[in-house]
Amino acid sequence: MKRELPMLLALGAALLRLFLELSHYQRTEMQWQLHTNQWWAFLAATAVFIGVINLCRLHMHRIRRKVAHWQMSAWCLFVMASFGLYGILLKGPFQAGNQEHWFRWIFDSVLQPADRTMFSLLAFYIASAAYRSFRMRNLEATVMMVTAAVLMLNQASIGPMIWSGWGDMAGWFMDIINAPAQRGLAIGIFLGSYAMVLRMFLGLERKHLGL
Amino acid sequence: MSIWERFERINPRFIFLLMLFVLITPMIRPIGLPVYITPLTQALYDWVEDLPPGSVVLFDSAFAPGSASEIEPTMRALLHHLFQNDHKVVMMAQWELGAMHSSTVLDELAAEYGKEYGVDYANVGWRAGSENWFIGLRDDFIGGMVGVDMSGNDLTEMPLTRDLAAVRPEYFAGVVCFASGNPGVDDWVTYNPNMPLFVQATAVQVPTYMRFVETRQIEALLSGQAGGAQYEQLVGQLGEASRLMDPQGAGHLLIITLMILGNIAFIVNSKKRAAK
Repeated sequence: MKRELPMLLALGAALLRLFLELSHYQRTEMQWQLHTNQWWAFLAATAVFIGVINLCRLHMHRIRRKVAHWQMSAWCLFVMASFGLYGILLKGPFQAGNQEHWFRWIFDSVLQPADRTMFSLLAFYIASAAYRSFRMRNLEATVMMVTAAVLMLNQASIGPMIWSGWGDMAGWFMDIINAPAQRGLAIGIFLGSYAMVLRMFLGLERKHLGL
Repeated sequence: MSIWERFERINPRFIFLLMLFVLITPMIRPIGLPVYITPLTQALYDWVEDLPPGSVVLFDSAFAPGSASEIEPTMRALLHHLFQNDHKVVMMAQWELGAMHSSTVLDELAAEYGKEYGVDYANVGWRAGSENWFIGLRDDFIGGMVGVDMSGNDLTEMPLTRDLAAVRPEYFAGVVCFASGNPGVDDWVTYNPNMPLFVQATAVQVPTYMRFVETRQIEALLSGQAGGAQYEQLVGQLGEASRLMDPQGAGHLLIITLMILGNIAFIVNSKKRAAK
């Protein structure tokens, strides 16, 4: 029963989801269908709470064992707990809203600049990688390098000043080469996911049950 | 050791310094590079121009502050455009950090135009629940948002939101998705394909979304900071993107120059090694 029950639950949920999506396609919404969606959303939201518990367990374990950089784990827990508790205590646990001055200040003046800085560093690493990695070692690497150069010249204002044809060339790369390749990739990913999901629902794939 | 051999072994810190110089110089002394409007940017502008007065446009913040430099300029320019034309804006978010970031931008612009919260604009924020939450919104917008906006105000008591029953074209003129990854554009295309969809994406995401442009699943696609600069030009509100196009152009030029020099060094040194 330990194995069969979760598998049956998964199959039931899958069939229900399939039925909901097909009936929605005909725009015949029903109240219970709407409630089911919201119930599902609630279930997914509780996963955030489970995630917090998991994160705490993981980092507590690292701190207890004093593994390398355990101080970072302590810092992670401190930041998570203090920011979370501060947000909850502002209005009480059952009230929504996060527009309080200091709560916003932490976001606007600490998190936001840190996040932006981290992404800005990419410019420096790309510049450094440009002269070491984009090499004409073979045909494939050459094609990739030329494409990257054309798209960069099209994206920056300086490109059309050098030659007005970059836009058409970049458009050709994007529309004729890139779009069908992306579409093919998406179809491939979908087929792979579909096969995996089908295996799970038929009980052929059991790793997610820990079996 | 020849100059090309030295170039191949150059210290990356020197490249970092060069990049810093190339980026900062045009900020201090702007070059004024021209901005060219692409048809996909023009499509968003034309759509806003053709909207009937008082239309409700849905914004979806699907990005983190790290991508804000590329995405925020378009959000600001578009808010200028919408508020100038007396349209209404409802902001939601598929990314929790996007909700926080966008609310600052929305509040600033609304104050500039003297717009009233709950009447001209509203911010419903982000909710946990990922795809299931998103799917539920197409049937019940207020229920999906648990009945409150980002500040805890009752959505049924605000004139703007009380009649917005669902995320459908009957209630919203269209959705503008500000995206830097998933969840984002794919959810709109998959689960709510009837909504007219306009996208401002980070430049790195644009190739992924081009397939939706070809099939008209996306009506307009603005690419990175360049898209923001183009929209600022169209609206006549030059801002951060227009100012930063010069450093971006100079940075790209440096990268291409390094690519060319790196390849010359590679060919010259390879020939030398082969001769030995």
